[in-house]
Amino acid sequence: MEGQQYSREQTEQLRSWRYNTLVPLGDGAGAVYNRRTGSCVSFPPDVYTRVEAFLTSSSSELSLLGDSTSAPEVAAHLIVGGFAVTRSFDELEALRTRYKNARRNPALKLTVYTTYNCNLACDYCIVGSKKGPMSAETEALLLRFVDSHFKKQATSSMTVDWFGGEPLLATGLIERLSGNFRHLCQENGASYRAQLITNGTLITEALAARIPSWGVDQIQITLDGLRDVHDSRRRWKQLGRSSFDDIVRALRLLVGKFIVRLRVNVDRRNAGEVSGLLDLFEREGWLNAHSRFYPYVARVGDYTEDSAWVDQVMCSQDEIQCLQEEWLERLHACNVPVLMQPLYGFPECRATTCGAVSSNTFLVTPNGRLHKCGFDADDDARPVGSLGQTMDPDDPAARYWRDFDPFASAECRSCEALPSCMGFCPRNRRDGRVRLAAEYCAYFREHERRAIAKHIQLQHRRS
Amino acid sequence: MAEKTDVRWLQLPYEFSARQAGLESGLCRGCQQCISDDEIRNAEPMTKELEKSLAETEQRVRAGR
Repeated sequence: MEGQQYSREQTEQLRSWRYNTLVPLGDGAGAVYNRRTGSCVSFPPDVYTRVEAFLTSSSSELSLLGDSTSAPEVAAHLIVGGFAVTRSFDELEALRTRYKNARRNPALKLTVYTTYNCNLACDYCIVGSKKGPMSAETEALLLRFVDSHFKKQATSSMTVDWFGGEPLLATGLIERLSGNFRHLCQENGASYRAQLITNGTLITEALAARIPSWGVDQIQITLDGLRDVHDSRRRWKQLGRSSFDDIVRALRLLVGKFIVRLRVNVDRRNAGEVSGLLDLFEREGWLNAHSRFYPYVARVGDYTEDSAWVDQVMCSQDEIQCLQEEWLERLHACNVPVLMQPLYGFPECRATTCGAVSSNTFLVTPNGRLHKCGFDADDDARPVGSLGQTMDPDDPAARYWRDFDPFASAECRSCEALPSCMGFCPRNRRDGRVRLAAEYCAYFREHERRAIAKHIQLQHRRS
Repeated sequence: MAEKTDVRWLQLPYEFSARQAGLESGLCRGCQQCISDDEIRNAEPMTKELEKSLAETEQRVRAGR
């Protein structure tokens, strides 16, 4: 070490960023992930020892990184990745500015519930008992809402998630609205992209061929295990018919033509069984680098009153993480590009808590209510507005989302995980879901590092 | 990628990929659709941008700035 060769200015200008996560990888090697910038860098043993000393030192002297020959190079990596910053840099203020800017993003994002109706009877469904499709009158009002958005402000992009109920019970509506949305985007020089979130049971060859004309390039479908396990949870409403074969048939029509995210809802009843799905997907030839087929496990939760009973069968965070790691390894072995992806547990560098706090994100229900959060969609008492009516900026529901501030809590402001979590789910915070809040905090404090390490180890093993 | 001391970049600063994707805010869209951004994350221009930033930063550190 030749620390004495550095000037006082050099040794004082840098300090460790508080949002760094140090990840030991064994044998003295290690990595650093920065929650604000999303940067992730790994170092061999000799360098990691020095980096760790530098980033955990209160003085952050440059000499800790090596001599005057090697230290500037290592320091450059740390500075570019945002792992080390100048002392005058206010990291909290940077996050706050980023949050404010992202909320004002003029991109229009809609989740459209085409209908409340559904042909399946999933026992853990979070959607309530409402029935009925969107009427022609509501459809016209929705189109006027989008048109007026374009007239009010410059909008460079529009994205739509088609959801429900089962959205494909209203294909005519999707077809008409897609055509009209795309026409409006074209007129206003905005890009258009849509995702379909469907149970897949109604997809036929003819319908699959029509979907691209709706501007849909991504489809999410759910399977909860092989036939017996899946059908014990997700049968057709009428006659209790199996839905497993219908969904697999749909996947055969879609995989390779769309980005397909295959969601596997997991609780303690099926956690031990779902991995058999990976064998099926491999046999079908869907697991490879090019098919854009991404199966992933998701935890079933008691997110609404209608699914409150689920708390009796929910997996612990540890159980889910073990399963996620198993899937990550299997998919990676099949060359599916899963590493460093948030869908597979790698932390996400995010500007806002969720889309609901963005000023131009709305969920539209079949009865024309505008909501911010999907979990509120069945609650007519909490819309932020209605199609065809001027939105009241002083409406309490609208104000809650507009004023939601992850920086208001002293605990969150001082938390090193703030850039990853951005203040916990605003809806769960509003409704006082204390247990979920505790789990959320625990995840970022206890499980995130393990997830990062798993991704990096797989990456290293490959190369 | 610059790896003179065997430093391995596993994920670039998100601003790099966000700029590459032409996002107005220069930041994450928060849309959970990062899977489809995979090609963007690994795009060659970003690697070049990283190398340039590293070289410039190293020069600044050596110059004590």
